[in-house]
Amino acid sequence: MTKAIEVSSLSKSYSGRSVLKELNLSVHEGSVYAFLGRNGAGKTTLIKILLGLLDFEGGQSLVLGLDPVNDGQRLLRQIGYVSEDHAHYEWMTAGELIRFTSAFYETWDTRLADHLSRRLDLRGDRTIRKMSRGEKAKLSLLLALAHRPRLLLLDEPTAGLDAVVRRQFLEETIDLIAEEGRTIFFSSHLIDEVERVADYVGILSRGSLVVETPLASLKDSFRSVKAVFSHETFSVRPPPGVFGFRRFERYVLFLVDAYDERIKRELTTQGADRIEVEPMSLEDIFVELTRGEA
Amino acid sequence: MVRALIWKELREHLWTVLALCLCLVVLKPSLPHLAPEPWLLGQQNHDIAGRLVRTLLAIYAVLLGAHTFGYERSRGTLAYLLTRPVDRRVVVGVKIFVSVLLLVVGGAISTLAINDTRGFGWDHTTIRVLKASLPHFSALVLLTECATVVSCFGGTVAASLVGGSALCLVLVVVFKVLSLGHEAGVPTCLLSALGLSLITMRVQQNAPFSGWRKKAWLTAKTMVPAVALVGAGLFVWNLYLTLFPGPMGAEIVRVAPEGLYVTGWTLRPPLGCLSQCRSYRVDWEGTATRWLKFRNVRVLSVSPDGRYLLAEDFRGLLGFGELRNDVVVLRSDGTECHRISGRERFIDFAWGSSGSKLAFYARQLLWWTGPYQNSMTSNAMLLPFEFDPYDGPRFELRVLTLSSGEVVSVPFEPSVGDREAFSRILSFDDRANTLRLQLHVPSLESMPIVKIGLNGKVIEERTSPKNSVVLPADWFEIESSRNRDWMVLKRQKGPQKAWPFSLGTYKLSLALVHKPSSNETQTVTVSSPDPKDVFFETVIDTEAENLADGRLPNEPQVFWSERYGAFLILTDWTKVQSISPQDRILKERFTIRF
Repeated sequence: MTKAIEVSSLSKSYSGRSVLKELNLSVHEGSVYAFLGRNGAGKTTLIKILLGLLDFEGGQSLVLGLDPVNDGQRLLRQIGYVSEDHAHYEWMTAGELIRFTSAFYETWDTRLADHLSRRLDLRGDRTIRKMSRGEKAKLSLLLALAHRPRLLLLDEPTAGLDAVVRRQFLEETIDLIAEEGRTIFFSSHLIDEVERVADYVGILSRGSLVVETPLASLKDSFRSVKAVFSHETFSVRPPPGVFGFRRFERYVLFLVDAYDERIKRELTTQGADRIEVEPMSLEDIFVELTRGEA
Repeated sequence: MVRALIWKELREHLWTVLALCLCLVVLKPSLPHLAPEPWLLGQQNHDIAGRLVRTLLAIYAVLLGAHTFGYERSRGTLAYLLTRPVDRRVVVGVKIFVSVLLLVVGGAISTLAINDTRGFGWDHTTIRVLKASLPHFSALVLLTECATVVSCFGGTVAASLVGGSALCLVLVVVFKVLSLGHEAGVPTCLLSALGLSLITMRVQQNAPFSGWRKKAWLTAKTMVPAVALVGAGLFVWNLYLTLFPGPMGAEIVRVAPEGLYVTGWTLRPPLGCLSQCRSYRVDWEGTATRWLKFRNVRVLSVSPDGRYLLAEDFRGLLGFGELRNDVVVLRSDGTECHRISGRERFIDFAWGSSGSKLAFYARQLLWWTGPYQNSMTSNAMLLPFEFDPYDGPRFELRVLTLSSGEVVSVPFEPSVGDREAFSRILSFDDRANTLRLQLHVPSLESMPIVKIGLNGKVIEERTSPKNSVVLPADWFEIESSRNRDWMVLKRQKGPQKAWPFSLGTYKLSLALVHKPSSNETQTVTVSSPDPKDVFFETVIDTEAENLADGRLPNEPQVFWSERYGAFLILTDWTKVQSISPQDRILKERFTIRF
């Protein structure tokens, strides 16, 4: 399977503060990749790097096989981008902005734009200044899709939208893209929307990807393991393969990927009286993996 | 795509242009009240209204530059624009093109709206308040470019306004104070604008729009060679001029018994900058020798015996103008004899008839709108000054003995007039120790002439009408013979309007006419010059901007010479001709050899 995005050992810092540290990431073509992280984790930074808007200190990034810095123009022709703030020229009407944007793309599909306009219930004569945030988000989606991009980069596209509009936005996006087998890379910190649409999940914590896996396997393999002890737990050591743990007076909670007999044996050896293994929701996994991050 | 970008830029700048138009609409009715006094119509250099409009255009220019990226950044639309598949050089190029285009449009609107405003109270006269010119336009482009560069570096509109102005000031300081080519104002402006445009484009091509360290590094990398290249070129040019001054010209000439005192220039920038001048003494053979090497002095007057000179010591004011630092009395060898004022003051003076004393007074000026060397010419013109009424006594009349440096105050206070009254020193008889003063009182129709002793007592008092000499229409007196019975008049016609650069032609005529009477108590009417009185005519092509103190560039200078008993005329910066009242034929005298 070819890669739509391939990032290796990518580093980026702002004023000495490291945001991305040796980041490795790959997105398969045709997949819907959810890029999760807490606020300020560096999700927007990575997307801007992929768009060629930001430079980086070390590593490499290839998008659709092109270098975003040196092949920016060629690359941007094949990308649709929706920003978090949906900032448009507020003095334009929706129709003017659509015409203005169409001037940049040879592959602009006017019929598709009209179709999307009707489907998303957008009025061309409406000034953008007067639009609600939901309407602006829909307009952003139209502008990102109408030139039929191979890759859609969405940077927290549903942030600030109410639940109804958020769901509509995501459903429309998936419907429109999936039928043509295009790739979607979207960042978010809203877990429920990810669970609904994503094929792959990458979780960014402290500048690195702590998890990058198909969503289904993530939910299958991650487990919360509660080991109860009859003695104080300060001497309990985490067994190998544990992502994180929290120590309480009489028990320890472990977050493990692929729980097996080896872990159970290790905990028993350390004096565990009882071991309880439970499946985890994506939100629990996300919270546990990013806990303690500034 | 380019069309779409241009359309967007024009729409975004619409409010800036409308704001300019609104300012002009508000400004236009008030301009006549700000226009100069009628007697200053020839003194276009002091037009307040024109300065106001030019300031407005300068603000507009910075605003256009700051708007280039600052507006997008403030609105958060820059990322949207830069994620379109378009070469960033095209984006920057279109933005700069539209800015410059709107600058031209703004200039045109201002010219059409404001120029040729009728003056308040004298509607028969048209006042030109806007002098668009290439150097002026280049300076506006430079302002726009500076603000554009700052807006590229993450500045919002407000930050770009401040930063752009500061950057422009820095460039002006670098170019002007360090003498990097300020002899050649136009190329400097154009080079700067061109260089900045290229730099802006280069920065945009290579550097992403965040990461200020990398951008600063890339900018430095691209700017340093460009600045070094331009700077080195200008430095070499200045060095060349220093080593080989090239064709010099006589800008200011004063006659002394043994020759001429000349302020010479190698090049004449649109704005005079005295730091580029050199002082020469020219003998009657025309051979010039450097008189003062390092001081930026301009000789105001030479004592009748030629032993002393009254000179102004100027200091360049960051290239924008000149600050008169001191008025000093120098010996003919250039050494300082006496310092008269240490501040920016109006000086009026008269040499004693024997040349051993100097009567003078100096006063702080509140506002100055006209020529100040009233004693250099003897014509009785009104002096458009406004004095600071709180700056000590009105006159502070003093007499300096030149050999000893002793200063004596003359306790004279005119009994007439109000706070704005002032006097001119008409003459000083240092043998009889009497002074003749002419009092000017705006509220009175007459100009009293008093003769006083050095003890301040009035010996004689007469009145003279204000317009004691009535000249024919369009003609101005520029020089009189010593006993004031002959005078040279000047007429200056033009220019023909030709926007945008106001390039036009002036027709200049000089006429030698006889003045019927020199009695100061009467109004003397000088008849209109007969065509045969006109002894010199020339056509001068110039930009309106180049009029300094109402004078055209390379305008012939006329001065009376006792040695020849004739008027000397300096033309083409170096040629000295003469015309005497007796034969009235223009003769070649000598050419100044610098």
